[in-house]
Amino acid sequence: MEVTSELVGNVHIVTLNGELDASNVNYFKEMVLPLLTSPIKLLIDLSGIRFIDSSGMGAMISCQRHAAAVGGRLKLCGLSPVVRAAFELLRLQAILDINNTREEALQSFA
Amino acid sequence: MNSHPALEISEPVVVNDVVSANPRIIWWLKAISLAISVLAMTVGGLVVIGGLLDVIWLKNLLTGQETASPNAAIGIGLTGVALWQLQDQGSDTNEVQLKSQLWLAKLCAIGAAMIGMITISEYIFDLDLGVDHLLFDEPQASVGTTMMDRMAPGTALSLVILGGALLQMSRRKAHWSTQVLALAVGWIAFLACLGHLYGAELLYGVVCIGGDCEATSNLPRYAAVALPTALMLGLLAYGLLASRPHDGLMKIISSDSTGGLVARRILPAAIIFPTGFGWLNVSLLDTDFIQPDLGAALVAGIDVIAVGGVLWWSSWSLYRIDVQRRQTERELAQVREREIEIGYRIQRTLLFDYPPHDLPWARFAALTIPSDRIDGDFFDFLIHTDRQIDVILGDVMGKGVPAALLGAATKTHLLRAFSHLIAIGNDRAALPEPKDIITLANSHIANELIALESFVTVCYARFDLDRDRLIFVDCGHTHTIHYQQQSGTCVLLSGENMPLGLDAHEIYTQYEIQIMPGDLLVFYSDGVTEARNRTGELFGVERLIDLVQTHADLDPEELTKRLRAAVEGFSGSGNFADDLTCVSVKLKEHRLPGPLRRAELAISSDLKELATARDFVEQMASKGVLSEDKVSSLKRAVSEAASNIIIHAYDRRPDRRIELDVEVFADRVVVRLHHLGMSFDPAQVSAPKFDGSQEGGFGIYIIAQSVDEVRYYVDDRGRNCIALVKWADQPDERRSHDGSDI
Repeated sequence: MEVTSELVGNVHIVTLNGELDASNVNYFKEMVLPLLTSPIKLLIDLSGIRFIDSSGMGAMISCQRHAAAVGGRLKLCGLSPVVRAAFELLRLQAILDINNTREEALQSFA
Repeated sequence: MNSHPALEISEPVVVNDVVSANPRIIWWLKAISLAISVLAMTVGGLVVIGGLLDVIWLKNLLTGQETASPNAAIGIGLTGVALWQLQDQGSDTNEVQLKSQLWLAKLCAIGAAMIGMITISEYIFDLDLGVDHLLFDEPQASVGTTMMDRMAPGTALSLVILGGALLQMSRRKAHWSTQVLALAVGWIAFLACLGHLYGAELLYGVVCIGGDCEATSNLPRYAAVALPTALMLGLLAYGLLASRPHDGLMKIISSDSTGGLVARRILPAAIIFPTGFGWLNVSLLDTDFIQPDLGAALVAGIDVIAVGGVLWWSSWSLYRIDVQRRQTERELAQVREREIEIGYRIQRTLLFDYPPHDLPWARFAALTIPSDRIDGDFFDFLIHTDRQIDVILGDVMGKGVPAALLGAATKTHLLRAFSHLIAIGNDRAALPEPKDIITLANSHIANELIALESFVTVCYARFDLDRDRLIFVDCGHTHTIHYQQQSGTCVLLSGENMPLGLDAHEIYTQYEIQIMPGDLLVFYSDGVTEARNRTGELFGVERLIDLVQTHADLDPEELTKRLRAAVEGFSGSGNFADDLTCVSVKLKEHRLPGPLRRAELAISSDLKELATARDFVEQMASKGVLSEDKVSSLKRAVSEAASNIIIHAYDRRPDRRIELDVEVFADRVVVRLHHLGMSFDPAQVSAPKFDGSQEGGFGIYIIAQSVDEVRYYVDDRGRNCIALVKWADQPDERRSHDGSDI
């Protein structure tokens, strides 16, 4: 899995590629959680993710909680049908701000 | 008298099974006894020699006065010799020597008793037989009466009793009467000593010398038991007691029991304190130092402190010993409890076989509730081929560890008989008949079981799917319930064989019945049917049949749970008087087509391998049978299951193995994950919360949501297994498939 991050305007965008599971979830957390020590706007783009397991989804919940704790904002976008099906199992759509596309998400941040 | 009774009796040194004599005390007592016998001989001998040589101080050694009583000296000397000869010398003396010693002892004892007897008769009949002067022919003019040389009546009586006791001891090595006689002498001597100590003349006789006789008026004119004589007699009595420290009254004193301890502490006190305080009292009376009443009160006060102190000291010892004993008892109970616990765990993990889970044609479930935690029920499953399986259920008469051991032994012998029959059979491929296995096993163990007063009831059943037959040998076991789906009725399968362990020559017969898919067979021990309710009523076969009939459509696992609940509900508790065991087998359609393809993969328990496992499943499952999203769901479940195994069952150790197999059927895909880590119970995992407060622990939930069937079990190779089934159709569309097929 690849993790890349960029800054578009005042929004940090983290793009994930590959499969997110228990073997690499710690790597993901190490990359993302340090960003959430200040009240930033963070967008996680999951369009490159082909598979996510429960630990990966747990990491998303973790990000949300960190963002809320420091007063930041977290959005997700680009969920494939497989990832969306997994998210729906854990009813993540109710606790995470999920957008269809990156553009949509960036607009809603503004 | 060729054979002496004393030679035949050899008393054991151990007092009884649990209390033994304290060897140090025994040594001391024997040494004292020997020393006293030597002292008595020496003193007696010295007095006689003194008399013969006319050495005054020697002559009066025992009397301590001018009067001399040679007979008493001879009597005491003889008693000493007898006691010396009768010392218990153990087994290293030869027989001839022992015989001569006994003769000598007897002669001396009789001699001493005779001297005493003659003296007493002289007193009674007022005679002077002249025996008093046999040895020392002295005029004793100064004294003027012959009586003064005669030994005192107390001494004479003591000699008679001592002689009798020694005679008795030489006839019977150890007898209580000897010790009672010795105590009598001891008491006489003690009284005499007390008389001397307190100045109470009556206690030892009246010294009546010359003209003083008139002064003491009407008191009898007996010679006194002199203090040295009294001491010597007392010592002899003690020596007599001490010479047999293992027997009679001395048994307690020499023992290392609590009783011995208390006796050794209190008996000396019982003698010393009253004597001492009595003397104190008398001495105080003699002086005018203190008022007599005050003196008596003071003495009594001190007496209470002293006696109370000794009693408290002894009680303290008893208390400590008691505390120690109770502690030991508790520790022993704990050890026993631990052993039962370990036995139970061994039985659970190693002696009970797991029912097979991987057979396509049947579902198995087993239940066992031991009454005493470890029990004599057992069951075993022998899987010969995919389509031939033996189910063995047994019940050993009795409970607890012995019954469990017998159960294990019976199982072993059944397996031995089985392999033996295969080895001697002409056709290595043919299975031995159940009747032959039972007959051979019984011939091996029957005699041992008879000797142990136990027997074993067994039901040996073979499922032969090739012929749709059940072959069974019923050895006095409860009758297996056969639910026939076609007719919807239950039939009891009963044979007429005897239990194992009644007759080694018994030939067992087997029976055969037809079985069909949908049929249910319930094997059980009598603990089920003989469970009682509060009024003493039995659960009974009828109730069991009703239960089976009502729930015949259920999965055997579920049926077994219902059965347990029913029996517990009936008896009103989870504790049963007898072991309770039940195995149920539900037959399914076994002529279903096999898998279209099958593949296996082994991965190491490294989280990096999760992707490999997912790819393997995707590759196998995605060719036509399942839709794309169903393949994704199956992959998701497999990934969660594998990561649970790595993280929880293997505790994140990356060097273990997970074995996967995938079977693709026309209508479903089955994935099994096998591992050798810790088994885990999905029921222990609490339902997840979806409010964002929980970041992990969703695995079990995701698995359950992602596939149609999940099963956690131990497979027939002892591996923990998670089986996942994903159907091509929606669950409600496949009613016709008759359950799952894991």
